[in-house]
Amino acid sequence: MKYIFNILLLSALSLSAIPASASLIQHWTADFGVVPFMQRKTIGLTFGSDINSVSQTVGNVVVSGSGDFKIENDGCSGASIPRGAECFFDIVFKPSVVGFQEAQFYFDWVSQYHDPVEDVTVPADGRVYYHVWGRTCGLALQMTTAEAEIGPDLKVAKFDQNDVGLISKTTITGKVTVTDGPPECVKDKVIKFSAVPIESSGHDHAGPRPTGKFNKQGQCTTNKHGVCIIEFSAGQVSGVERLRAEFLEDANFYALLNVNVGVPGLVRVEDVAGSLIGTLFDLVGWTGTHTDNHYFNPAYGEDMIGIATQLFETYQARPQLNDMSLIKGGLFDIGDKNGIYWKSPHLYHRTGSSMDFNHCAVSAIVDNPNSQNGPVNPNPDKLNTCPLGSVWIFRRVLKTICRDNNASIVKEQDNYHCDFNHALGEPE
Amino acid sequence: MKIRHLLPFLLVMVADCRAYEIPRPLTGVKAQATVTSTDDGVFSYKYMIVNPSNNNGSIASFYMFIDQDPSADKVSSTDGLSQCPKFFRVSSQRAQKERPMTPVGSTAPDNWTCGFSRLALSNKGSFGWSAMQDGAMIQPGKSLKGFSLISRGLPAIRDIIIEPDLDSDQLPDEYEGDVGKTVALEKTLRWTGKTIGPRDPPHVFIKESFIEYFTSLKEQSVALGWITGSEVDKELSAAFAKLKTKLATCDRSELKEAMSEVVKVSQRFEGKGITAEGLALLVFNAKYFNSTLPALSTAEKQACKAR
Repeated sequence: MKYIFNILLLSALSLSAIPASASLIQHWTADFGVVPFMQRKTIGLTFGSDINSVSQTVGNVVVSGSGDFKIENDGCSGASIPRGAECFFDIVFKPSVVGFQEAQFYFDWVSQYHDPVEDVTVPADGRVYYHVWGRTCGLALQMTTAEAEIGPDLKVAKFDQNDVGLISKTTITGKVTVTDGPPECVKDKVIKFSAVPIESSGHDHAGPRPTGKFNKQGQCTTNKHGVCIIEFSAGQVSGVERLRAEFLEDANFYALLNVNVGVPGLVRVEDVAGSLIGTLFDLVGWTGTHTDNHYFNPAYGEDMIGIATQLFETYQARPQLNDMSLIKGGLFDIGDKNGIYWKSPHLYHRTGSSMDFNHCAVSAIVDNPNSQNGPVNPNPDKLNTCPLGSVWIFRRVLKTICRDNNASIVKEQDNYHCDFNHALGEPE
Repeated sequence: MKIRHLLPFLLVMVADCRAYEIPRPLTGVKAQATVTSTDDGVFSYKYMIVNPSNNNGSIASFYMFIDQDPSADKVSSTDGLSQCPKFFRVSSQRAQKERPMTPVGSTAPDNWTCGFSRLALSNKGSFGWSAMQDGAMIQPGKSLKGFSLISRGLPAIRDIIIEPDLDSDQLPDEYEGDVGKTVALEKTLRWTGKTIGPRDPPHVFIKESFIEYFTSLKEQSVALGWITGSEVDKELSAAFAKLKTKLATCDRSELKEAMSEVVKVSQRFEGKGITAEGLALLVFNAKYFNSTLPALSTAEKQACKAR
């Protein structure tokens, strides 16, 4: 902001009784007020020649005091100013330290002054002092969250958040405190928020991933207590997100806070099923990008084991348990089916309620009477044969077994998908 | 010549690439039941499922709710009850543990599974059969026998669900990973109805309560079309009216005779106004009544004397 001070310097000379060759010393002051750290505030000054000055010459502006005050756009130093004209210059305050600062400027001038009363022209000179000061508040920024852990956003994928009771939002409070300066320094500070992922809980992909978002365009303004509140909504991907709050006017002042995004309480199949793995069913489906793909909600543990056991008994073969959920749930494959991040064969697998089975189970006996190829499939892209030593699981059988264990199967590419969230009921 | 050689190949390609056709909701399905009993009180419920030719979906599963009321029903014995070859043992154990059901044995057609079931979102237990192969399903215009339940439970009216095959993997992309949408679709396709199935007799026999229940069986049979025609209705109504008048009699033989009259009327109209389902309901429950009706208690005798 620029403040204009019109200083008709020689107006004082219009007073009579100015002796010839007299020197006039004048003092002017300017208060820059509170200026944010490293921000510029400008006061524009005008030096005007009196109508009675025949001519006027200004010397160089001399600065002393804090180096955070500077002259800019100096149109006065060394200027010869005709009668009734003006010159201009700016004083800029850009504080680089916290606290009170001051400086002093002066310049000399010389003039041929025409005394209208005596009708004589006399020499005159003088010096103008400018005493300027300003201050920067010493501020500190803190950030807190109402919830240290929140759930991932599930709704985007045709999922009813209410089904699982996962709250995916938290209130973030930014608070400004004064370390140097008056209390009112905390008011009207604009805080800008951002989030970056620092951990992705089972995703080992390279490259970026979606993060949560703030409302209010990611900014809020402090009240008189230095507080402002904003809401952070998790994205679909679980993991840890580092939130950053910073002053809009100066990113050097900031606060950091980690928020954990995830479905709480998921457990690893290996930790629950123990020796059943390799005897009753096998775990498959690890990839370079999903190395921890067998996490699930323990509430479905008995159902899961029930399905695997019944499949084993029916086919005398070990079902191949493929993708379930990642360590903290959330979006399993990031991006749309043909998206920019990673391919997306399955939209579920977010809350530990999904389990995929390969079409083929590994026979547990020699000459398994259940061995057969799959049914004739109108989709020519699908391979409906199982390798030697394995058995095709008929979709209808899996559907029945899943249903018997509180689950339903739904369309998914490449595998059977069994999900524990919805199933058929009795006749209404 | 070249074109003639290519033609079969092209036809095959066209057939392979056709879009999957979601079956229409099943209609007009029949689950015809017949019941026989042995001298030791074991009933054999045999079902034939009929898929009318106007449907375009093959029937792939058949569920019957056989829930039991532990506070009212006597738990019958499981002795001698065996299961179908592809019985889902593990699923059945869990279902029976969590939901009380009338004990049953079973048979199933070839390549059909069977087992006790806990249909999700229902607190009632059921027994179900499912096809194990495409070729085992009941095509439109076909029927299939071989489903049966063996039980000491009396014939009762039971809810059933019959579902067409729905290949979820062939559904349009909008169904991918969408359980709610898939289940909603399944619900629109299934056929629900009633047939007869076993239900354990009451734990405490109270003749008035049983007659009330017995009367409701007759009324529901009329509503379900298992008893039709004015003549049979007239005669059965008269028999039931007489039965009620004999409830308070001091001579048990009169009450039993009235119940036997219901049996006689029912048997006389077998196939001529009373279906096998209606007949089984009335005859076997009537016989159970007569065989279970206790002699007059001391209190009843004193009351009769006082009259």
